[in-house]
Amino acid sequence: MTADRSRRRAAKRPPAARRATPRRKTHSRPDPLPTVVGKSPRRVDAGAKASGTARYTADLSFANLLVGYPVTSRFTHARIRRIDVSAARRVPGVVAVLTAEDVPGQNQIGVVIADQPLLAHDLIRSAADRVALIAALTREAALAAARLVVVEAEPLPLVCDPVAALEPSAPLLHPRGNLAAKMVIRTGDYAKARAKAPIVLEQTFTTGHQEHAYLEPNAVVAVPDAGGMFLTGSMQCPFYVQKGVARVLGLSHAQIRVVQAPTGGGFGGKEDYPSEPAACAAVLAHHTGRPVRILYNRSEDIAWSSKRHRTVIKHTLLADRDGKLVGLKATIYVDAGAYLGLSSVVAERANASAGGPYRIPNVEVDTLTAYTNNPFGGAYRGFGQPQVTFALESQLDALARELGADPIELRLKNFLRQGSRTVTDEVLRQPPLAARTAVEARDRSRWAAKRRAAETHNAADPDRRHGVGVASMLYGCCLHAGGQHLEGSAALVQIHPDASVSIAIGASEIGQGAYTAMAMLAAEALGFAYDQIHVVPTDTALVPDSGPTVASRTTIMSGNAVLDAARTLGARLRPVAAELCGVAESDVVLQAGAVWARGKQAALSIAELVTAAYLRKVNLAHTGWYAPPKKLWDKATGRGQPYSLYCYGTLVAEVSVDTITGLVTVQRVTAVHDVGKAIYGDGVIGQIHGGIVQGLGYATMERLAVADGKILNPTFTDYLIPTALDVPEIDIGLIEEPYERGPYGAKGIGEPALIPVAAAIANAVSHALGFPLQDLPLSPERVKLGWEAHRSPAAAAP
Amino acid sequence: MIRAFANPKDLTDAIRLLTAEPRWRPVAGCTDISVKLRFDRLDADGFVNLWGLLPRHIEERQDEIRIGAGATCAQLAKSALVRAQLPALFEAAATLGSPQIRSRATVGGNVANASPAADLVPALMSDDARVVVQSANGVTTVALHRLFVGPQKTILGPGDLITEIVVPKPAPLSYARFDKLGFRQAQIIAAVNFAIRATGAAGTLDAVRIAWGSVAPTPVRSPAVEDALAGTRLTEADIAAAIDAVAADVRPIDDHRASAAYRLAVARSFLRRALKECQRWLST
Amino acid sequence: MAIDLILNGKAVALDAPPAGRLIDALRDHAGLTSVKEGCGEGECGSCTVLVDGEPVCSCLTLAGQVAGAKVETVEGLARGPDRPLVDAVVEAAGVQCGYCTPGVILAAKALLDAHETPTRNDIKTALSGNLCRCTGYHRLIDAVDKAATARRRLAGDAG
Repeated sequence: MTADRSRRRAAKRPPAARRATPRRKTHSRPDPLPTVVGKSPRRVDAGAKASGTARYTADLSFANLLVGYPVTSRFTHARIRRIDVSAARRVPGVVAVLTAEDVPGQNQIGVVIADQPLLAHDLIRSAADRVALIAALTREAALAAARLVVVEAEPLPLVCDPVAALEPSAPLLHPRGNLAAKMVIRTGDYAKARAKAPIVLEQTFTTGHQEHAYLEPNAVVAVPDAGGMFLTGSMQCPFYVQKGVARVLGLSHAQIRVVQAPTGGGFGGKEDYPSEPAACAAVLAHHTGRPVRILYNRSEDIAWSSKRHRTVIKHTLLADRDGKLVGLKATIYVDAGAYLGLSSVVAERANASAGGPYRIPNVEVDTLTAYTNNPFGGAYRGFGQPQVTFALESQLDALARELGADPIELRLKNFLRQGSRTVTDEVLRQPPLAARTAVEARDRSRWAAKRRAAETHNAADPDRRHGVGVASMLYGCCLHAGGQHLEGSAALVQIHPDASVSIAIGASEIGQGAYTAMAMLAAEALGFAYDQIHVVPTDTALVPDSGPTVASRTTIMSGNAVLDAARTLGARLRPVAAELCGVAESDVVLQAGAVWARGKQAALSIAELVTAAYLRKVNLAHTGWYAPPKKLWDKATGRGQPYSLYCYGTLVAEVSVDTITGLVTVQRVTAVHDVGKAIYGDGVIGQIHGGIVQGLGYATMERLAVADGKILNPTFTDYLIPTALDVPEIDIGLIEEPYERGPYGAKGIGEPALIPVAAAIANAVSHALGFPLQDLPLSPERVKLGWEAHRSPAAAAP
Repeated sequence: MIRAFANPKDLTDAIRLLTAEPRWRPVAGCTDISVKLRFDRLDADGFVNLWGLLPRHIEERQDEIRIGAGATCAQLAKSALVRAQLPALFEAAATLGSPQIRSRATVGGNVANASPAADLVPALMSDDARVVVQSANGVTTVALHRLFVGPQKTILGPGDLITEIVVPKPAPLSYARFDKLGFRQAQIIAAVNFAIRATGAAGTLDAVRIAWGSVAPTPVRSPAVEDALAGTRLTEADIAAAIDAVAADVRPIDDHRASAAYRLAVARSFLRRALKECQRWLST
Repeated sequence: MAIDLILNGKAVALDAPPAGRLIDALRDHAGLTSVKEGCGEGECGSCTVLVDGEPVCSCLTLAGQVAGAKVETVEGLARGPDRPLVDAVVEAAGVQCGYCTPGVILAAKALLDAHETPTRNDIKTALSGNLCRCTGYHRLIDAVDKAATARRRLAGDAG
């Protein structure tokens, strides 16, 4: 089905949101098809956001509120001799200045391992390391005090390259050494394949940091509350914040309650990172006994928060003369920055995804996560996969050039098929849909005609050259086997006496439309009208720990938990309905806000049914739960089942390259994604649009300038993200083959939307210019200087 | 924190205030000064508000086009006169910043801030603009390319206000172009700005004015390139010689936005493209 | 000394420092929290308000500079005749995280008040000072396009 068609269909019927009483009243039997799922009702949160009444963290008021501020030093790598906060404490309006010894619990915030102090006390390892915390009446007072914090330290040599960091002579950042984590895949016999392979393609790729650039900078408030702490803020993972704050305060999880505030974007940037400002605010609130709010400005946010990992990828692809892939060797250096954070988890995904959606029998992948003094890497939409996808897809195009083959035909020859073994030696049970996405993308984009037209145009050697490129992707949806202990997800569904419904899920709403999808699933499964459903802000006190809102897992995990709860409640309501209608329970259906008995709409309304259930003291609240089956996977070889399911996608990008400036303009993108079932139609389309434009930024203009571990462009003036004038035309094709374990067949889309974008654009630019590009971003400077060197190699030589 | 804020009743009052309080700064659209304020780079004690006081006319008077210093970029980009007569300025104004910036940023402010990357300045320089300066001592006129002495530095003193920009009406038959190197399609600080105005007849170039931005401590004219081109018939050899002369006129630096080598490469390409276009114009 | 202005259609005297930023005056002294700070450097447009009908970054404008001016925020629009524009953004699924939304709506209003029949490129240009990291802009552009059509239809009916 195509997106356009789905929109038209949705447009024919008025959105469910505005149908308090369903039109179906005139029908004589319930609809065999879903009545809400697959449509595009009005988002549950859009009205408040658009009219300015949604209260984000900076918009909230608290009595006796203090401003919290974390103090960093001018050092990037140094041994601390002395931290003197006495002058800072004397600044008028300053209420508290705290250092490491003031942390009541553990001075530790590492998510995966305990390698990151909340406040530095002996070593400074990055420019973002905090040495003190200030609470003051105003931000001006806090900033004045911060300038008076004296840090005396002995500078240590810097390591700013993940490859150099692993050399034996490199200065060590941590006592265990700079190799923070290592993942591998060993499948088949690479050495043997290499010895026999007729085609060996070797290239080294680099990718730069990417800043999340969510529009709302980090923001959090901590409020002391009955011996514990209440927090609200801009975040993806309230349960991570709860654990992080409990640890630094030395309190139990039960003493920490975290409620997510409306969150102005995340993209992974608010997965692990918000625990840091939250821990800072909590420690200050604990000491002062007053609410403390920390609001970062844009420069602080860019300077201190995590980034998409910089990588260096040494890549060898082996193929035979027919274009069949026979082997892959990749060494992937992941620049973790000074602390591990989630880098090992990101590396796990990069590692497992290095082979893409292709059959490659002999594989040797090493993913080395290295400590450096650079800005630290963390979760970012795609989670290690855009980088390895760029390398692999560039290599496939290099192979196509070598063979004179069409890039899409070459891919079709190599895609995984039913029963194929993946590079991790997993036999696929679900149908691999990569080829379907590629064929549809090829046909929708008029690939062959566009490629020919570009080549004809370029033959005249214009200043503006055209190119068309492709990239395909396989995305392991939900958490990797290494993190499967976090997979269980909960949802509380509560039917109130007036038949309104509130649902609380463990996942968060960060703009992606999760609450709307959950309301739709609840409406569908309960048989209530969509506008009877209300979603309450995610709250650690309402639902059990449901893991993080990441890995494109919310629709599947929280969605299944909502269905579990709704079905349980349905089972409690149906006997009441049967009794009132005088029919057998099996003859009762609740659908679209009506009760149907023996196929006919009953005289009984949902509201009457709920009233009757309350009179009979039926419990109309239930916490649903979902956890996928266990995955078997061997860390030592990287073999087994890393993910519960895969999503596939293919993207075709059409670009124009201005060789006067080196500027790349993406003119058109055709994106085809296998989404299982689009629950919230507009949400799926919105994710794809946003992912394409974010990926376009990553590919072409988003360049974080880092020197000696310091970010030189921590502003929106100099860190450029796409504007409305930079976006291409977008054509979307959705493939809807239901996933057996997804709610109504749904898979995830948040990350797949971004993953192949940079790879497809890079291949298009290569096509336009006639030489391969190995470094992301394809900044105008790189493109221009590369083009001039390509045109007159002698002139460009130094 | 800056606390003083004065709303003078007219320009004379403003000049009196600024002369009496040398640490107060004149502000109009505030699009540049507020950014300095945000990054703690503004050394001042107070503001003297000129928004609403500066003249905002854009008009033709005899052989001149006169633009009030308070005219905004949005106004310039809507002006049929600017579009027809000063296409380089039109293009520079229409692409400066964003709609939000263009509705406040004034031509006087863009000039007075003396940013090496000021978009309007190279366009105005290529059209031989002069600035009218009012002070306690009266009114004087300065050639625009003599105004700047360094980054954010002009020859103007505390009580000197730019009130008007005057551009001689270009010859009816002339060629003009403006180019800006930015790394996306909107809201960008130029890494190279380029403006050209050429006049000529019968296949021969008469005079050429070229100005650059973001390739030196101030926006600059391009004397070596201009000399190389004046009086030529714009043959391939003339174009090559002009491109070779670019390096003599610009002094780009390496910074986090762009390297010097890249800026120079783009500057040369901008010139080449313009001269090829000019060549076609000359031959028609 | 208070700053006298017409705020969302009402004459008010804002008791805010005139040398301070307009965004702070609106948020802290008038309670208009739809005006969001995304960068504080005039790049993201989240703090866009209309001053005498023109879109400006309230983080770059000094509060004292709006004395005597008409200032509009989304709180005012949502209650007035421009409510259909707010609804168009919602109906076209132009809202995701919502942080940029009020600013986008104001930039769109400035465009629609000046152009009866904006092209798609006019709309993109009008929104080019409002960064959005979620939507990829397509649905926002669609929303403004639809709102323009609706306005023309309304004007046609009225005429």
